[in-house]
Amino acid sequence: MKEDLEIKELLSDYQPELTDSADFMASLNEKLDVVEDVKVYHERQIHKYRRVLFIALVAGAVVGGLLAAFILLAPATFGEFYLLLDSSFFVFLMTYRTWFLLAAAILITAACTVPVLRTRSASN
Amino acid sequence: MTREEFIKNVTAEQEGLRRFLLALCGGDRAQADDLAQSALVKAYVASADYIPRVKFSTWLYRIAYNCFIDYVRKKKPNTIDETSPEAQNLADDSRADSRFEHQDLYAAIEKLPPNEKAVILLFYMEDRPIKEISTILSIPEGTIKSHLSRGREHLKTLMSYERRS
Repeated sequence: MKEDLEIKELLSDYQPELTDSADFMASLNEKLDVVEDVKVYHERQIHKYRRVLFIALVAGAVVGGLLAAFILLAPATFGEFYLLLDSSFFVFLMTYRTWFLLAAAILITAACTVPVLRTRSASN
Repeated sequence: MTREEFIKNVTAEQEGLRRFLLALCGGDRAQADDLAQSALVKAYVASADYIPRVKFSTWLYRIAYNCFIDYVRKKKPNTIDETSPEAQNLADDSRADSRFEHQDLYAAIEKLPPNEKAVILLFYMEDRPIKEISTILSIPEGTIKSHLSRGREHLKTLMSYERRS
């Protein structure tokens, strides 16, 4: 109990000399200014990222819509060409047209995603 | 919390916080100030997530203590050699000089493990209740009590050793 009081007395009375409070706060304010700058930069990056994402989304929807329409219209349109053309390569293309169109759609979507990924890696 | 509010709250708390970190750092003022600055910047960045149901000072001390723990982990040894600059700073402290008989206590505190040291300092130096210390250190209240009891025992042993040597 005696030791307990001794510790309490010593530590409650422990008033070490600190560096100047005004200097400390000034230094802190400078660091907070830097934090603010970083916050503004980060906000800008997020805004840029959202804009690119929106463009990619619209481009994807348009290209996807066009390709879907093309796929739906393809059998009727190409059926006539199929009869007119005597090419084994064309026959091959027509046989696997759905897969080719799907691959094209994937490539276009991937191409639209590249700017988004670039923006993200730049912001990191 | 706006920047003005944050600065206002910090201005009221910074001295106590720096004193706490200074004691944790064994009297190394430069290190204590670095840790305090780092903790306050972290607190400012996280101030949007601050929930007022926890006292601002408790929240601040918690961040500061976590910064100190990170520093200790990087530094590795959890006890400070008496010949280290920290111990020298402590011994050179004008207050310590004027109270030579208490130097053994400060040197003994330096040898405590970080958790016990923090509990002892918060309880005796900062007069914080057990519940608040538990929030600051993220340790259950029962563990705080055992740290306090063990810390006192360690201090007693270390102080008798310091006196003998």
